[in-house]
Amino acid sequence: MDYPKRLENVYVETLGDELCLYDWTGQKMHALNPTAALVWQQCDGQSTPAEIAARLQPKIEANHAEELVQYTLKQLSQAHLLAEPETPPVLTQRNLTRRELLKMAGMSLALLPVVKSIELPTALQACSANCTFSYFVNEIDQGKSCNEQCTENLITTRGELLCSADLINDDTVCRCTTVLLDPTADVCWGSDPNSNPFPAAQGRKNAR
Amino acid sequence: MSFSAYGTHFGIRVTDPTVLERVQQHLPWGWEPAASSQVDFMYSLVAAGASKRQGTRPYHLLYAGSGRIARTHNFDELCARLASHLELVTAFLAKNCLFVHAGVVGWQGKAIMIPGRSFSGKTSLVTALIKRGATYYSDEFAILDSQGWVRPYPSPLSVRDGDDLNAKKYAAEELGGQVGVEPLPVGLVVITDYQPEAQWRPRALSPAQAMLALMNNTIAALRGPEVSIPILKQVVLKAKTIKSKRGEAEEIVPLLQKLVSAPHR
Repeated sequence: MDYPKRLENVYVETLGDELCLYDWTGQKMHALNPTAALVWQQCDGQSTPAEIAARLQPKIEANHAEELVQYTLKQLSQAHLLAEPETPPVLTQRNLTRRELLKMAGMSLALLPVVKSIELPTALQACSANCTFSYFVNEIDQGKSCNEQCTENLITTRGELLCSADLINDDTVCRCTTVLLDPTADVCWGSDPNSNPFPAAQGRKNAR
Repeated sequence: MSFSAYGTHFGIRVTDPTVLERVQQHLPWGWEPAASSQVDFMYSLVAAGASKRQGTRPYHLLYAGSGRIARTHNFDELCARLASHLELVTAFLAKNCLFVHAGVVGWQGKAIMIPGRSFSGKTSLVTALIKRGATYYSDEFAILDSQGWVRPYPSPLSVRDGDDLNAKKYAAEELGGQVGVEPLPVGLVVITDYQPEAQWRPRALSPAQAMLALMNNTIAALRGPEVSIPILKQVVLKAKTIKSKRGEAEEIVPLLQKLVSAPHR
């Protein structure tokens, strides 16, 4: 990575010395500590890691700023926060480990870059509601178990099937309930995409 | 009928007007009747009538838009499905506020917010705080306004008994608590999971880490950053955020109450 370039299609929020990045395309959110934030902001696609290190030297006060920048670029690249090429930066013969960097640079732990990421949750993942889909098998075949009959009449395989024999108005029926594992499944919200209120995020231009 | 909840307009049309009274009991918290027939989201409920053919029993059907979301002989089950769907759509599309999956109580003019997924132990911690004098705000959602203050969403607490997955509903008053009325600023965000025998070792989270933890429980996270981030920013910059596993809820309640009362930074 000769000229690292930060990802463009992200929403950037500054929180003191830290950054939060909302990645539309990857549907992820990232938290960058001050060191990672400084390096990421300097990745303009026109500066080498050495140039970035030279610019950051007064701010980070590390003896081995270039190694620190290389290590940070590796973290950012692994979190897919840098544009192509995606190969990790290589300046020395091999990539430094966190421990080696601490030992070599004699820097404090607080100066190490930290990039934390989460996948943005869907509405159902973020709340308690299960998406369940129930149906009944009314014409019981006495030779088969309820589970077998529910399986034969399966509506979707994208969930966990729970079966039980119920007595409804003096009739025995099999109650088959599928707890859907994929909360965005069409069967949950109906086959009409317009009825699904939880569309996946669309890629957008940089918001800030 | 048409109604609105948190800025979204809903319509429900039914084939049998006599079921409307039962349906109304399942509308989301804070709903208000709407005069306009223009709606953002339409439900259609086909109530099962008398069978026209011998040996068959018609189903109750529920549609959201044109998609069928329930087909059942059990009307209560259909209402539960409607309630669940309505609550989720309300939370996702809410205007001028943000729904975060969290338990919330008030203590000395500030809110303690406990975000977390199901089975993380939110309700048991909220219940323990209420029993120690905290005011009940919510067991399900923290409703954050544009200033980052929490509004009450005092639906009954869903308390699970031991390993029983079916929760029983309790009003806060039944647990000896009072329900909050006024919006409160968030004083403390507690990221915690229940683990038997776990030691309480809280560590402070930075604002960016706190933002990540809150976003992980935000219902409308995928609607885009401009919906959620400005509101969550108000919270993480003004409130303390701590993270730790916990054992029994009663053990940490006094510590949380002390922490939320202490000055921030």
